[in-house]
This record gives sequence, C-alpha cells and structure tokens, in this order.
Amino acid sequence: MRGVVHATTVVRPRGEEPYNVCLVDLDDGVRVMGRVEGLAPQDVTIGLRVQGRAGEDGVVVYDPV
Amino acid sequence: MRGAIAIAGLAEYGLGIAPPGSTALDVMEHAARGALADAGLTTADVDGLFAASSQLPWASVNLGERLGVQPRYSDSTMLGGASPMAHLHHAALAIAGGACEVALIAYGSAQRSVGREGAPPREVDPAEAPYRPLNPVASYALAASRHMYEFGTTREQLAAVAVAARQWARANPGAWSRDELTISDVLAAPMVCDPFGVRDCCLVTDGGAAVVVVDAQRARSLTDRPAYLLGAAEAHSHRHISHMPDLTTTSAVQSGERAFAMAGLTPSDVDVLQLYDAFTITPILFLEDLGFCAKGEGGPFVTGGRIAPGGELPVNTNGGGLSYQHPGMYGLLALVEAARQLRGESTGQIDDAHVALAHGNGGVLSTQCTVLLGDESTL
Repeated sequence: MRGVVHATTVVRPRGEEPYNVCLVDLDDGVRVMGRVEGLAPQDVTIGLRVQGRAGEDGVVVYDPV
Repeated sequence: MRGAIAIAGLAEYGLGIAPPGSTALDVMEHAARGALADAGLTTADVDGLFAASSQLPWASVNLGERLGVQPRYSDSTMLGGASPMAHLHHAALAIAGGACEVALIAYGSAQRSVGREGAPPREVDPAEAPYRPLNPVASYALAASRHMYEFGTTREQLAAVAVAARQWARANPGAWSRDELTISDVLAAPMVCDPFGVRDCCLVTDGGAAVVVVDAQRARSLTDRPAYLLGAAEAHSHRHISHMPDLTTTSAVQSGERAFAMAGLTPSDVDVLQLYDAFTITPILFLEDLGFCAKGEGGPFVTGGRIAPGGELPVNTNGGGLSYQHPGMYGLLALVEAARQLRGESTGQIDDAHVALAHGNGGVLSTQCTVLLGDESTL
C-alpha cells in the first residue's frame, strides 16, 4: 500500500499535541485520508512517497519511504 | 425566468449573541417576522416556506408551526451554508410554476450561546473518522495546502482576505470584529490547522436572517427597490473532502456558469460580490471558479487592496463571515448584504451598485450556489 501525499495539514487542538492529517493518493488510484508518522506533522510535505502499515486499532498509517 | 421574481423584504436578527435563552427557532422566527414587516406583509400572506439549519432539522416545518403558517410549498433542502441561495433558486421555480406566491426564506442559529453540546452530531465519513480531521477546518486546510503547492499561494495572500474583510467590518457598527487587523496580525495569530491561524477562520456567532420573495410585479407594489433575481444555480461535487474531485477547483465553476448564463451577464458586469468566506482560502477559490481571475491567480488577485474598501472589486462589503458575523451558516447574510447593496442600504455602500453576486458554500467546499441580483436598471 504505497502512495504519495496529495495534501496535508497539521491539526492543533487546544491542549493536545498537534498531529498530521493528509490525503494520500495510493498507487492503485484511490485517494484516502491518512496520517504520516515518523516525521514531525509540519514536516510532512506534498509529494512525499509513503508506505502504509497497520497502526494502532488496525487503522492504516503511513511512513515516509 | 430572469427578473421574474424579486426580494421584497429582508431582515437580520439576534446577531452576535442572541437574547438569553433564544433557540435557533426563536432567532429564525424573529428574522422571519422582521422580513415580512419590511415587505409590508404578514404571516397570513405566506404560502411558501424555505429553511435549513444544522441546529434545526425539519426547519421549514418548525418555522411553519411557529409562525402559524400552513404552506402549500415547503422546502427544507439542506446544502449547508449554500442552502439559502438554493432556496432562492427553488423559490423562483416554485413561484414561476404557480406552486406558491409569497416565499419566505429564513435561517436562525444560537450556536454561540448553545455551543457544540446543543448541535446534532456531525456527519462523519467512516473512512476519515479514525484520522480525527478537525472538521470543517481541516478539510479546508487540506484544500488550501494543495492550492499553495500547485500555484504558490502564500499565507500573506490568504491574510489579505482577512484584512480586507476587517476593513469592511470597521465601517459596519453591526460587525462582531472591528479592531484594526494587519497582515502581520493574521500571520502571528495562533495556528489552528496549517496553513490557517485563528484569523483565517470565520467567527462563531448567533444570528439569523430572512428574505421575502414574490413575483416582480408584486415586488414593485411592495417596495421602491426590489432586488430582482437575474440568475441562480446550484451544484455539488462531494460530501467529504477525500471525495472532492479536485481540491483546487470547486463546483462553483458549474454554478457560476449556469447563473451567469441565466442572467445573460459576465463577471465584468458585476459591481459587488458577497462570497462565502468560511476560511480565507474560500474567496480566493470562488474568484477563480466564478471567472473573476484565472485558476491559480486568486492569491495575487486579492492583494493590494483590490477587494477591500476603495478597491476595484468590492468583496464582502459587510465584513463577511470572517469579521461581520458567522452564525453557523453564513449564506443568508451574504444574500441579505447583496440585496442591501442594491437597495443602497449597506454600511459599505458601493456607488452605482446595479448587479450584485452572492455565492454560497456549504460543507467542506461540497455545495456551491451562485445568485445574481440586479436593480431595476438591469431588467
């Protein structure tokens, strides 16, 4: 499950750690919402190649390739 | 249908903080009664009801019960913040088709006073929910990130939208935010959802509005200055942001084309615009998609005071959702301001305002409805 970050933001809820929310264009042509981990949320950039894996609770999260 | 119906009465109510204990329906009722009084009509004259509110499902039915109106045409179409523009479109069709004669379009919210607890649960896409997108702001932020990436749009250009809105608001005694605001203030404000700081985001206020719509002949008997409907169209492309076909192009392209075609006008004919400004990216997108500048040029286009007081293209002359009021759904306030410009009653009055555009947006850039209004000289 590989793809490219299509759009990205850092959500900064009051009193909580900021976290990444992005849209990933998967190589099979589907666009999905996701979260890139292993990078500070503000360092996630559009065009970044990512690889999906099962995160906590079975939710797919993405690592930079 | 061009010029066949007109807004003959309008009112706002409960803006900012509504009287203590007010519900969304209370606010809507008072706005509705105000608009009827403005048109010189009573509830007994109303036979068409149009309303939508996230705080009030069954909006037109609740409104009918409260006003004691049993309408022969009823429309609670929910297109989010674009609903009132759609309602105006539907009212035009209903009146033309003989389904009703006096259409009342109303909106009310007490969201600031009641808070999120009083709101119905948001619709969530189960595939998006695990990533906790703070909606709606995160979805708009994703679209803005893509616009910045593709076209080089900057935070300073986004900030120019907020600053222009504030400049209009400073002339409006009814505006919620009237303190001076600079580009650096916007950039230095606490971040909410990158690239948006808190000054890139619309206000959270109470309030409501209503308009009364009748056929053109009757409108002329009720008011000296009817705001005639020249064109109206609606479009939607997705409900959730991961399903938006192109993050930098909204279906305002379609609604705008259809509304301009119906009106027989082009963007260069428009004297004043009210563009739903939920976040600073939205007027930029709509200026592009409605044809006021090329795709990707919206960022530079809004700088240099072009859309501010004294600029060549006045946008959001009441201060908009960013600085005037944003009671959950702003659409009807934009429509009211467009009509006020044609009546010569705006606090940001434009000289020679003959054609006014009001554009509504709902959801997460999901729904787009464009309305063109004109004064007598445009018929």
